Amino acid sequence: MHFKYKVDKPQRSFEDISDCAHKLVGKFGPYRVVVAVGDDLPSLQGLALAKAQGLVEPILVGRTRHMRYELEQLGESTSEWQMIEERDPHDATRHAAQLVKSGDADILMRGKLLARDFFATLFDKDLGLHKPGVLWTNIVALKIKELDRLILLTDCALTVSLDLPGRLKLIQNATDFIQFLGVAEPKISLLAAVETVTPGMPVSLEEAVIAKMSERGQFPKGVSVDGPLSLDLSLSLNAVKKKKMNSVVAGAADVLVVDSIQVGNLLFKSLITLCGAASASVIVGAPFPIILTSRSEYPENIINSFVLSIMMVGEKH
Amino acid sequence: MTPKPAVPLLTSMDDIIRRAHDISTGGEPYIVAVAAAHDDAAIEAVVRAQEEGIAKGILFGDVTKINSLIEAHNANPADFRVVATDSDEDSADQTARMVGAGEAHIIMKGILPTSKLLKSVLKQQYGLRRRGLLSHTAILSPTRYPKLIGVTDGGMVIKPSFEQKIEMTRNSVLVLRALGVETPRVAVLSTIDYVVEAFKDTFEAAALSKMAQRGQIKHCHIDGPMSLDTAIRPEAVEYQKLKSDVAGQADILLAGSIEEANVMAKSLVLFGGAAFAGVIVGAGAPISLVSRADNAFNKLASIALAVVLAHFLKER
Repeated sequence: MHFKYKVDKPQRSFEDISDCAHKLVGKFGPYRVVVAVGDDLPSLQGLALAKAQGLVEPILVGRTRHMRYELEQLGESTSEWQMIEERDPHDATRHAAQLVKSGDADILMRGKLLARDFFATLFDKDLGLHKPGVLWTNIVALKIKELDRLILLTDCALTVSLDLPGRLKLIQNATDFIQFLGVAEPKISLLAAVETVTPGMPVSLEEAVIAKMSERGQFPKGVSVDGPLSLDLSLSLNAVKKKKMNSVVAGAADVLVVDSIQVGNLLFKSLITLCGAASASVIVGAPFPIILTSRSEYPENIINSFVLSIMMVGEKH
Repeated sequence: MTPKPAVPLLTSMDDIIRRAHDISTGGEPYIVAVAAAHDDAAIEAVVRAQEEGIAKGILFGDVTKINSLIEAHNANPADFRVVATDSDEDSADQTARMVGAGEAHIIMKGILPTSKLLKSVLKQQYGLRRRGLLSHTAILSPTRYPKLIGVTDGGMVIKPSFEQKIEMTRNSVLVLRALGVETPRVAVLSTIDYVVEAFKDTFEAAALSKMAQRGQIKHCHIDGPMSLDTAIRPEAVEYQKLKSDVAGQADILLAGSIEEANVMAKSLVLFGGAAFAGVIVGAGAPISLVSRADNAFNKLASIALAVVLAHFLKER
């Protein structure tokens, strides 16, 4: 999707993003979030909080009886929630997607169904959401206490076994996104276990190739890509100093690109559960924002996903 | 037959260091043999370990450089056994021979390629070669988790096969048992908690779990596939309504690749307040690697972990 919203400064925290979202909501009212298979307790917790703040207007698609039950568990008054009955998860996803496509909702959210079933439905040809040549990717925005900026991690959830052209598209999506967040000259790190090119580690070879492309100016002006880099060499200036690394990206990465969703997912979950990082998780490449939180997400991180998605939608007409 | 004394449960990195100290001061001190010891990180670790009564060091390599590094760390070269060697290979061979003969108990890598050290360690004549796989286990102490957690393999095995995952599990289980966890709980990590056709790793995780249930992999509980939050967060388990003797309380995280385990461990050190100790298991003696990127405490912790493990293997 094309991001219409223009930030006036680099977004360095979720507070910055939240400010933008609240300004938009102040002008256009709450943004409509439609949830495919709505009886998902963590999602509902997040939605209830955001609804109370006037950020979003939820639309739940799924089994009404189950959704009512979960809302009652949360002490919510069910009459204040818009619900649409769809018994089958596939139908619920279709219905929810069509609401956003037709402009009756702004943001799509995955509820209580497996991510792969959710996306299998969204990729149905006749829905017309998945344009040829466009790669949908998952981007997680993270605020780690020790860092003075937001970083992006991609892909933690969606793409499986990308080839080199696929990885370049993944990097392109992340580049567009971090620039949308106001980082004009992003530094992109290709993550690996070690910083040396190691023949036994195929990941490191491909990353070296992409880094060389960056050196040769094959990425847009201002974008620096380097790898392989370990996590500490990507984010810790102290580690960079100790190892005497010479790289523009090392110690200063804005974007971490992993070679598989297994690595991305694990790092993402480690950062939010054991390192106390705040996060937001979205899908880019689709015509509208799609929120994909993990299945036991913290409510405050769901709010972060809402404010980020509201920014992605931008001004409404 | 008298029952073996119970191994005390260690729940923090300080516990491991204290335990190593008790072991080495309670009887003959454990000895670390360092190959190509003219390496700042290794010397720093050994000097500190000897000062703290955790282990004694025998240093193989360039004597002049070793002595000046010892002095640089404010210690007296006369307090260490330093043996001159004329090449990395010679240094690695002598280290392996000494540990194989039982004159030292822990192998430590100095400034030589890991592959060269392992080549010597695996030479038949030194008696350190075992049937299984050599694999790396990291022990971490994240502040947001109530106990120590093992992560494997972020340092040795790049993309483990199913058979290698079995061996990695056995090796990590040994480490956790040495830390007093009688029946370690092993989570086989994946992105999801279900067996899904598209992800082959979920099949292997399921098979590993069943093997533990059938007693084919002993002394542990194994469950998977499991995402990290399910493995360590009781709330996630409750939400998913999973029945599992591992979920929410894992002692060991078995990752699917070196990249996964490595970023996981590094994230905990960088941002999770965790201390880190690492050891390679699978040979006749623990192998210790410290990196110059490790801080002084973590270097000491790695040696302490090797001492605790060597002691467990000896008493077993």
